[in-house]
Amino acid sequence: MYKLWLILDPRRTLATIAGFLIIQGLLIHLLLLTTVDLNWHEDGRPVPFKAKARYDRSQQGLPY
Amino acid sequence: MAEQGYNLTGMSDEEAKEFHSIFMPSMYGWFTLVVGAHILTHLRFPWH
Repeated sequence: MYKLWLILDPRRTLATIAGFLIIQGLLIHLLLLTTVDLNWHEDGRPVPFKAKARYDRSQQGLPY
Repeated sequence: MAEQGYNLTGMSDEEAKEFHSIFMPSMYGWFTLVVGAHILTHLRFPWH
């Protein structure tokens, strides 16, 4: 199997793989962030600190 | 003589073996990392 590197140039192969993985990773992450249900920045999980604080204080009868 | 025909990179057998011994564990390490990332992601976002 190592004889593969007598056919493929290791330097070019590494550069190609790195380039492909970087582009693919960016593409998939951006694609997911454009969706509604898979966007991890705006899904409200975990409950944002302000919302949690507001809820906790309301449970204790505090004004805000 | 016949085997010289398919050596397109000019690497010796030893060099190819050395590179291969670094490349393959790196590839399997990357695959492990990716599978782990998918497991963690699925715990958070069960997409099916």
